[in-house]
Amino acid sequence: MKTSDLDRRDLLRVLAAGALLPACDRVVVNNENQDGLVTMTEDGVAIIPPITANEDFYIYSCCGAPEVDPDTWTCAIMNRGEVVAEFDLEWLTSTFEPEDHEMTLQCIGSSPRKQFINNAIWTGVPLRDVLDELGFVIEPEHIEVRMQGVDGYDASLLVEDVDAPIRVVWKMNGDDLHKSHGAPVRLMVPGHYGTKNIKWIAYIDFVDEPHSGYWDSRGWSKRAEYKCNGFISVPRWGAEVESPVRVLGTAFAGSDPVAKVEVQIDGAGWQNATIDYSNGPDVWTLWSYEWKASAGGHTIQVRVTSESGAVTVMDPEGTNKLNGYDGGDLVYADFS
Amino acid sequence: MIVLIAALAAQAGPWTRSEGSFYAKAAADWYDTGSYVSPTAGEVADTQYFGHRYGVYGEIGLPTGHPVQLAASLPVVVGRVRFTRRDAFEDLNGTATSTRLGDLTLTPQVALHRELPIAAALEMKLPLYDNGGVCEGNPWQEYCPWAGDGQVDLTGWVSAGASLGGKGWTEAAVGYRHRTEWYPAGFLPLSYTDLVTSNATIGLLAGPLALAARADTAVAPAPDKRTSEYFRIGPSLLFDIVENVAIEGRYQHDLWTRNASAGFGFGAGVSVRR
Repeated sequence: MKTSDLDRRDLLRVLAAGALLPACDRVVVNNENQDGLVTMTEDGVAIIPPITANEDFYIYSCCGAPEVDPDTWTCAIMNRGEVVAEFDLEWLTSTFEPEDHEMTLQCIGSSPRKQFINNAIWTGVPLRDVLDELGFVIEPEHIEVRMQGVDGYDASLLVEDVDAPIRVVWKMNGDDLHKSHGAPVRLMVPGHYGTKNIKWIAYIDFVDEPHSGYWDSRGWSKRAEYKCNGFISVPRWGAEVESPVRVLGTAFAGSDPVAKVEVQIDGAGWQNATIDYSNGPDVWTLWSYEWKASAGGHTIQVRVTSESGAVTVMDPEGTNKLNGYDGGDLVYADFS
Repeated sequence: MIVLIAALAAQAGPWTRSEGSFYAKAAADWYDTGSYVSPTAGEVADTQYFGHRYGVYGEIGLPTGHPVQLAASLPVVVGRVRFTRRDAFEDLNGTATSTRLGDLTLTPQVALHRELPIAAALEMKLPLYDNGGVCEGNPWQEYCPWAGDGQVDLTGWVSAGASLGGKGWTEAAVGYRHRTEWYPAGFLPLSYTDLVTSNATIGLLAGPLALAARADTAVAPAPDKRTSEYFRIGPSLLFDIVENVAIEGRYQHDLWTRNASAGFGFGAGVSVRR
């Protein structure tokens, strides 16, 4: 900007000040939560179940939820756009001994207002085993694997991520996958937000060129690696709460296990929260903090530290939502 | 939008004030519309605009030996946009409010005839705000309304009126608004096209009461995609509560707009005259 422009702007500010009217701007957004992370026990106690019931697991799909017949479904393995092998569900279930694997899934667009994070037991096999069985060899020239669902949604990962390992999955908590979660077969990718966990998988293509998928071509992170983050699920922003309160929340950093969860009340010192559930890499940590609050309004903020030393940022909105939430949630509630 | 709410300002009639005569008004105006038309982005989906304006307006006859007056108005503009941001993953509801000094208008007017109410005026609109600083650094800046378009405008008016036998009056004015493309704040110069403006009023007098109906238009000879054009009508009421002191109220309804959302406005004020 030119100096003369600055001078003119300064002049306007002086004029405004001279009229005893400082310019004033205010933006208010609501903080209403819209997810269903917390459930109530029969005794009326709020809990976050370590394993999320299928019907409570968050759902986000860019392009609808296609109805795919498991009897006719196939998935193609491709080499630079050419189909080199195909498999179906019957072949998968009859060829491999399925493995159960606990894994947390979080939406890259999750936020304190939409705590789209849940945990389940997924049944399937590593993609590497499928490729080996089909005789497909990843070549040195392959740099990415492009995955596309029946709905047309696509994303890519580096070929190294195949051994994350990407899993080909057909059961969730012991039940066949529901349509909303990618039936009959989906991919699960440790360490990466839901954007890379393709539902209704249709083909897997090994390519020589970088590929822009559905979300990264729209500005969201291409790598979509989980950020260290923490949500407060109880109490919610603006809630009226009876003291004492048991603050509940989640902590997650993908394949980097959570080492510590702390809570700060009204900006004072950090106190260790109680770890209620933790099961290593790729699984969320559930935490709680018992607190007898004095009457009135109080703020509660969570801070998460991972084993590698990653720490949530203090800004409760996070740094850049396009890379995934990396904040420590902050809640204001009114206590009685 | 910006043009519409700014156009709520009072405007001098063709009866040019003689030396020592004056009219002063303190007023509040409100304007409501179902959507928000951003100066930079056009109509913004899932928004609603509500603006209010508080200001003073005055006319005074100058000691020139010939009827010449100076009119001026200075508003404070409060714009409020209620919005829903439809994100890929979540809808975010909020409101953005900005409060600014608005456009200072200065309008010298000269009578073209000593007896007949015919006048010529030059209205100068001088923005006293910096649109570049509105919600500066805020992630929802795009929703924050401006107090005006930030441009200096010059409008030449010719007006004429007539008395209706002591029972009322009628008046009309035609003007040409030149968009100077001079932005004192030096920020984000946007191109607007010139406008032909006009208004017509017919009023009835009944003791301390004056009831008027007015129509206003602003039409671009060469329409573009940004300049707001409109045709609106509305009644107004003036009631003398004591001698030379009146309360005023009025309503406006946008019958047609281009590059602006159609809404409605109403205003109230207290005036003093001599």
